[in-house]
Parts: sequence; structure tokens; C-alpha cells
Amino acid sequence: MKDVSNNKTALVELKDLNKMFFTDEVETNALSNINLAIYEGEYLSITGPSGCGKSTLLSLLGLLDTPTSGLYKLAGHNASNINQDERARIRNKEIGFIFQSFNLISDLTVAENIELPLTYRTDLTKNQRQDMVLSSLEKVDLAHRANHYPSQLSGGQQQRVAVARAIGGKPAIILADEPTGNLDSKNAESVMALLDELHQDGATICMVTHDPVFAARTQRIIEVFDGRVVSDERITEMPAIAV
Amino acid sequence: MTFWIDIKYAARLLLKNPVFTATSVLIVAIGLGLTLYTYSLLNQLIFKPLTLNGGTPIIAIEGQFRSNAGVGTGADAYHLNQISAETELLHSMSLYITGTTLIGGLDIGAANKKFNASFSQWNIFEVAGVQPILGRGFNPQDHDPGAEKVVVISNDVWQNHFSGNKDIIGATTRVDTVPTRIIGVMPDGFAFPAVAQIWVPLSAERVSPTQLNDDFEYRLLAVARLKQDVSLPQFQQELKVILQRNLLDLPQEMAWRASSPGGYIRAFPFKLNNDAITVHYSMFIAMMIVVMLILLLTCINIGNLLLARVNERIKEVAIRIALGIPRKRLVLQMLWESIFICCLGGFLAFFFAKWGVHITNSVFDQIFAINGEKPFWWQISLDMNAIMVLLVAIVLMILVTGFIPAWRALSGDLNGVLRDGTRGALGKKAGRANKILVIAEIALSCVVLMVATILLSTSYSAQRADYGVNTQNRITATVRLPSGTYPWNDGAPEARKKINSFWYQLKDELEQQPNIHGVAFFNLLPGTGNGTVHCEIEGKAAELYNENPSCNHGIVTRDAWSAVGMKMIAGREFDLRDMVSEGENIIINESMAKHYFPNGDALGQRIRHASANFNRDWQTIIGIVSDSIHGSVMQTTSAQYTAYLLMDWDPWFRLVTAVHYSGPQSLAESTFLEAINNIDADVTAYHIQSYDNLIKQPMMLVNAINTIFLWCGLIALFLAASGIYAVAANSITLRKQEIATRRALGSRNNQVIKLFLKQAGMQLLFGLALGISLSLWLISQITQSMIIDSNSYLIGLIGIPIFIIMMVLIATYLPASKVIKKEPSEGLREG
Ligand SMILES: Nc1ncnc2c1ncn2[C@@H]1O[C@H](COP(=O)(O)OP(=O)(O)O)[C@@H](O)[C@H]1O
Ligand SMILES: [Mg+2]
Repeated sequence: MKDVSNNKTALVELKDLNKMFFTDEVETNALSNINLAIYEGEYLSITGPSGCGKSTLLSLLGLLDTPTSGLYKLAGHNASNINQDERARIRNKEIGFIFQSFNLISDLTVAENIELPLTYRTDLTKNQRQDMVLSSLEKVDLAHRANHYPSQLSGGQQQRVAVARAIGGKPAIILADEPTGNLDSKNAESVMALLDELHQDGATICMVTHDPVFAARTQRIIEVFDGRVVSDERITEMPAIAV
Repeated sequence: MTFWIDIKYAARLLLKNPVFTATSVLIVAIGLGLTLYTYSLLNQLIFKPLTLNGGTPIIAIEGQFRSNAGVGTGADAYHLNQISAETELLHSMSLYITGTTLIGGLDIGAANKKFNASFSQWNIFEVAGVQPILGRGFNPQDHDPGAEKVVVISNDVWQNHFSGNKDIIGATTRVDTVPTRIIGVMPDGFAFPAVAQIWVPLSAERVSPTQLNDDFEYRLLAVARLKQDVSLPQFQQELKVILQRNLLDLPQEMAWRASSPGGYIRAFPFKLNNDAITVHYSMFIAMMIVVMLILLLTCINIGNLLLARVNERIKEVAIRIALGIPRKRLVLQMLWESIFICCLGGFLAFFFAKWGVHITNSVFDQIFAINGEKPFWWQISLDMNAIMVLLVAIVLMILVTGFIPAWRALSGDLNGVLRDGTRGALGKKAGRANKILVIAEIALSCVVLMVATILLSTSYSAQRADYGVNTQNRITATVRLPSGTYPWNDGAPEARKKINSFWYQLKDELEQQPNIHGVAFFNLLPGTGNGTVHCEIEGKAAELYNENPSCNHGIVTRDAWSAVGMKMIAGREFDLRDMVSEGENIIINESMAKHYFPNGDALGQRIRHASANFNRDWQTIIGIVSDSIHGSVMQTTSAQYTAYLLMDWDPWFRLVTAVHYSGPQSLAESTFLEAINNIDADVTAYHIQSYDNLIKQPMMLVNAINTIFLWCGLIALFLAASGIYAVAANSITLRKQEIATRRALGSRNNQVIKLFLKQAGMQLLFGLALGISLSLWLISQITQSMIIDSNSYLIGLIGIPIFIIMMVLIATYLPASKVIKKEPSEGLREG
């Protein structure tokens, strides 16, 4: 699928994607016939009722899982049938994850948590890594907490650390699964503000949320129901992009 | 009511996971079964005092156990009687000495048969608290010099040797060819003091000497029964005082008794009055320690398996706590699972132990089949005490294994589990507990496997060892002359001549047979026996007698070496010249010659047997013979250095023979028995067996013990493997989300595995360090009574750690590789 107006290649492209789960002899058709393209610089949200397949979709987008059938293209390359290690490399370089439950590693300090994905790369020196950690910590305004452990931080702060970890490696796309789901409204707001800011700086963000207010802050809302995309609308006009 | 719900819930959980349930029940059954078995074995063989009918413990009162002689020794009967007269704490005491006798039938001329005898003081049955079922026991008059010769026989001798003859009481038989009246039959199974089949009263002169005496003949053993409510340590204290008083003004040549280290006379539990127990005591103790470690391992394993299950259900537990379940109820809920598993396992353990006991009893029968010297209490059974121990062990195990998961459920930040699925502080604590568990498992299995391997390997190499003799086509037997026909007469020349002429006549007669190629008589054949004495080299005497080098003294006939495959290396063989020479000549073996006389000038030098109280005459070395080893090579008491004396100088009424034959063994045996019969039908040969068998004989018990160790080692291996796997799987369950997160962030699969292997590596390091140092200590304890060959050390100290390292790495790799086979999204979903 090509962007009609821009002639730009989609960053991520899903074609006729299906995902089934087989458990205890029960088949769950978690996703059926998903067709979707995400472009560089987009800020989009995926909404829908609980259990409709949002997280599954995000997992597939993030190469955390493999589709049962269908095509997955990343930056124009077919990524449906590459091996585990290659997928790990792509996750590490091109994708930043933010989870509902933060998923910080409790034995590591804030700085070490942010550095962790960078240590999986072979092309970075220790100094380069530390510079990257510092700049992302500054971006989320937590530089003074670098040597704290996650358990010493509030939920909002923990999620901001997770955001810092997601952006530390300068990924092509940030995937967030209900990033505010475990937070009170004040902390949720601060995380959302952070995402808005990242978007302003040009990041591509794909966020799962069931909060219409937060969804409304994005530029494109994809609604999923029972494993299907039932609507896909761009609210805010994006310069040079028309549907 | 809630009780029922909990029980049903626990049962459902167990049934839902049959592999887990079966594994844990099996582990419990093995751990408890082994404990029950070992308890019964050691209790029966060592720890439970022998009481018989009297109720209070029976003890042995003897001269010092001479570790270099490998046997306990008698003490001067004069002192023993003093103790009996002066003690306040003994109920009764009787003197005895063990030996063998030849018993004829009821008709003159019926064939003699050898039986174990107890030559005793009249009150031996009073000490035992057991009286004859037929006829009478002894009375004090039976010791009198003029008294009629009498004998009491066992039920077994009556039934089998005398075919249950109804008129047995009062009948006359021949004991060592001396007519003797049978006055009593003891009840079935009675073999007191240990292996006796017949009882003969000692002479008054020996049983109540009127003066101190240093002769071997006047050294007796004592068996005594403590008074009600008197403990052995109490009596030992009293004994010390009595001895101090009585050993005061001894004549010069006996003064050493007062300064004998450890006391001239000792008292100890009667069951320890057994060479097999004394020699292998440290092995029995090691076995006990090993089994206790295995029990510990079992508890850790079960606790850990249950812990793994709580970890899997931690969210459910957290919800229950959030819903306000009382802590007591929660703990009880967790206990139910332990109760099911431990009770079922304990039930199976009983049958495992029963099976082990059954096998052990038949092994004991096998071991003592030839020499018939199985002490009557060496018959293991699972008694009420054992059942009690099992019940207590089950309860303790329920507490230990139930506590671990309950503690896990009640500690830490369960809110965190509910709120966001992170394990937080709780995960950390459990993680540390897991690490400690793994380290303990590695250390314990390392200890058990190392000790078992080293012991086993040692015993196998001892069996294959070269004892310096050729055992092929050789039969051996003990030949005994009846003292009635061959009286000792204080070693008078005529008596000596009569005895010696029998031995040489037998040798000549046999060697004329076409299927016999050589006959030798020894007091103990090379490869058997053990024990050394101190040997003083003329001109090089050590300051103290026991600082002199030590060697074994062997007794041998002329022209003996080729019959056992040994040969002269230098000097000359014993011959008729040695019969007439003043002083004694001696032949020593090659390594003794090399060690004592490094300059190679052994021939013509003089040595003598040195001891605390007397020195033998000097003996001149006239020959050097090839090496042989007396005793199993794994025993510290075995002798590499042997000096041989000519048999002819002393009247030996019992010798062991080796017969080199060709053709079938059975033919050789009948030729041998026929030759004896032709010369003197009253002479008896027994313990007839191949030379190989004879060497193996003393190792059969060690082998049996080592087989138990092997089982322990295999069980430990099974426990350690399953335990380490469970711990690894457990810690991976705990870190599932962390692993998934790392993978989401781009960690490659081998990096994930490396992470776990690295952690396992650290634990291996600690576990092995701990295990190896503990093993070394344990082995150093064992080496006090056992020689461990260097190959066995190598296998144990290098082979086992490598084996454990491999096992731990595999046990870690398996669950880790299972995790990475799944998609990372799955790990993330579990909150
Ligand atoms: N690993 C899995 N195994 C089985 N079923 C799954 C799995 N992951 C998701 N599902 C099922 O797929 C459906 C969509 O789940 P999910 O994507 O988590 O929904 P949500 O929109 O709430 O994030 C649900 O019915 C869920 O039960
Ligand atoms: Mg979801």
C-alpha cells in the first residue's frame, strides 16, 4: 500500500493478517483480516473494548509474536518469516516498547534499565551508551533519579523511565500498550504529555488505549472490534496527507 | 466444614498435576525409605544396646582394641576378677574366650565336625538371662580340675549334628577327641556371646587365677550386664577408679599396664565387640551422615517443588489474601498438599525399607555362609521403634515442606502482585532463597556422590589388587587338630614333634597325588588377615618400642612358596638346618628388605619383635621372598611388610592351607579330604573354598556397605537432578516477565540463556566449593581406617565435579530453552 499523496513507503504495513490462539482445544480468532499501514511521523491510537485484540495487534506490530497468516512489512521489507535472532535485532533497533505494567527490571537501577536495550547492540561504546541514557533521562525529566531502583519511584515516574527506555535507542516506531492503564489521572496526564512532546519532535507512536479522551489527542484512531478493524479515521489533519 | 473444602481443593490440585504429584511422592518415599532402612540397620548393628532377657544393657570389658592388630584383645583374668569383685554398678559379669572345637557324634569314631565354641565361666547364661530348654546350665563345680568334662550345645547343633536325639541330655560325645557329657541344650537362636554353637567351661586355673599373669593363655574377655538405672559412662568412670587402684604396684614387667594409653581395660557396648564393626565403624558413621544429608535434600526438594507451585499460583494467593483469608487458614491450606504427599510417600517408604531390609538379611547370610560367624543380632527388622521414627520423620517433613511455601505466600509485597504483576521485593527475596537452595543442593549432592564414588572405586580396586600370590587353581582350607589327641603340653618337644609330623605327613601325602602340585601351610594365607607388630632392627632400635617400624609376622612350612605362587628372591629357603640352629632364623619379603635395609644388606642382619612388655629373641634374616600383602589393600591395618617364621618351632594345632591342583576343583577337594582321613580321621578341615573366594571374603561386607553407598549416591543424584531442575524452572517462572521484557527490548535467545547459565555458574562455584571441602573432611575421617587409592581420588575429586557441572548446566538449560521457544508476547501477557 502506498501513500497516495506522498508517494512514501509505509513504515509498517500489514496485509490480510490473521492471528489465532489454540488453547485447551478452544480456538480464538484474535485477529482476522487486518490491513493497516503506519507512516513515519504518525501518532495513532488503537481503541476498542477489552479482549477485542488490541494487545495482540500491538504484539504483532512489535514482532513479539508471529501471525497465523498474512504479510508483515517493515520499511518495505517482508518481516513475516525472519528468524528469532533477526527479529530480536529489529525489536532492539527499530521498535520502542511501553507497557501497561511498566516492566522495569527491579534488580537494575533506572539508568541501567534504560541502558539495557543498548547493551544488546554491538556497535555502541560504553560512553556512547551513557550519553544516550543521559539524554533520554533528561527528556523525561528524571536525570536526578538515575541511580534509584524502580521500586523507589512512583508509578508515573516508573512509566516515564519506561518511556525513556523506549526512546533511548532512537527507534523508528514507539509501541505503547495502555501506557496509562496503571496510573492515576495526574500521572497519566504527565505520561501523555510526554508522548505528545515526543510526537512533536517527530516520533512515530502507536498507542493502545481504551480512554477516548487520550485517544482524541492522537491524529488517527483505529477502532478494533472482535478482532477486526471497524474504523480508521484521521481526526487532525496532517500536512501533506489526505485519505 | 472449611476443612473439607481445603482438603478437596488440595486433592484437586494434586490430581490436576499427576507428574508433579508422582515425582514428589516418589522423592518423599525414597528419602524416608532410606532413612528408615538406615536407622534400622545401624540401630540393630551398632546403636541399640544388646539386652537379651535381662533388660539392662550388656557390655564388653576387654583389653585395648589394637588398631594395628585389627582385633580386640583379652585382659589378665586376675584384673577382670578384681573388677567383678569391687564394682557396685554391674549386675553380673562372666569371663569367656571364643574359639573353635571339633565335636564327634554319639558313637566313638563318628566324624568330627567343627563348631564355634565359647569357653566360658559357669555364669555366662546368668549374664545372658537365658537358661537351657533341656538339661542344665553350668555351675561353679564344673570348673574344678577333677570335674567331669561337660558341654552345653545349641538347639541347632542338637537338631542337625545330633539329629534331635531324644536322649541327648547325659549322652557322651567327644570334644576335640576328649569324651565329654552333654548337659544342656540352649533355646533356638541363642548364640551368646555372639556366634557360639557350643559352650565349654574354662578350667578353674584360667577363670580364677590366683596371681597376675602375663601369659596369653590367661587373657580372657568379659561380658557383663549393667545394674538397673546404671549408664555405661557411669561404669566407665568407676572402672577407671578401680583400675587406678589395682594397677598401682605391679611387677616391673607388667608396669606398662598402668600407663597403657586409653586404659589397660576398657568397657564399651557389646555390639561394638565385633571386628567388622570396629574396622568399618567410620564407614557406618559416614553412611549415617550421608543418609541425613539425603533426607535434608529430600526436604529441600519437596519444599522447593511446592514453592514452585505457589509461585505459579501467586496471583491467586494474593487475591485470597486481599479477600481477607485468615493467615492460619492459608497456611493450613498449603499444609494439606504437604500432608498428602508426605503421608503417601511415607507409606511407600515403609515398603521400600522393608525390601532393603530383606535384601540386607540375605546378603548377611551370604557373607557369613562359609565361616558361620554371623553375630546372632545381625538380623534386621522394622520394629516399633522404626515405625515411630518414620512417623516422626513424616511429621517433621510436613512441617518443613509446608512451611517453605507458606512463608513464601505470606511474605513480601503481595499488593504488588495484584497491582501490576511485578514481583518487586517479593521476587527478590524468593530469588535469593532460590539461590541458596541451589547452592545447598549442589553442595549436598557433591558430598554424597564424591564419598560414594571414592569408596566404591576403592573397594573395587581392592578386589582387583595384586596380593602377590597366584590364586589360580588353588583351594584353601583351615585344618584343625583335636587338642585331645595333639596336646599342647606347654610346647614340649614331643608334643611339637607329633603335631609337626602330622603337617608334613599331610603335605607329603598330598604332593604325591597326580592332581596336586604343591601344598603350603600358613597361619594366615597372603591376601588375608591383617595386623602388624613392631620390629626392632639390631643396632637401630627406636627410643620407644612403638616407634620401631612395623611388620606382620607369618608362620610358614618349609617349601611353601611355590604352592601360593611366591618365590625366593635372595638368600635361602628354610630347611633342616633351621631346625637345629640356636636362635631363630627368619625370611622377610622384598619391600620390607628394601625399606628396612636400603643398602641391600638385609641378609644376615638381625631383627626382633618389640613390644611394651617383652622382647623376643633376635632373629637372623636368611632369605628374602617376593612380596605379598596380608589383608585387604584398602585397610590401614593391612601389611605390606611380612617376616616369616618357620612353623616347626611351635606346635600349631590350626593352620590354613593352600593346595595347588590341576583338573577339577571338586576332585582336588576330595583328594585333600581323603588324605587327611587316611592320616587321622579326627582331624577336621573346614572353610574349604577357592583362594579367590578367600581373598574376597573379608571384602564382602565392605562391598555390601559400598553398595548401600552406591544406592545413596544414585538417589542423591536423582534428588539433585530433579531439585536443580525444579529450582531452575522455578527461578525462570519467577523471572518470566523479566525475560519477556528483555526479549521485547531486543535480547537475543542465546543472551537470555547465557544470563541463566551465568547465574548457575556462580551457584556452581559456591556449591562445589562447599561440597568439595565437606567431602574432603569426610574422606579424611574415613582414611583413618581405610586406604584410598589415588585413582579413586581422581575419579571422585575431578570426575564428580565435572559431572555435577554438566548436570547443573543441563538442568538450567532445559527450562531456559523452553522459555525462549515461546513467543515473547506470551511472557508479557502474564501479569
Ligand atoms: N496467548 C494467548 N493465548 C490464548 N488466547 C489469547 C492469547 N493472547 C490473547 N488471547 C485471546 O485473544 C483475544 C484478544 O486478546 P487481547 O489482544 O489481549 O485483547 P485486548 O484488546 O484486551 O488487549 C482475547 O480473547 C484473549 O483471550
Ligand atoms: Mg490488552
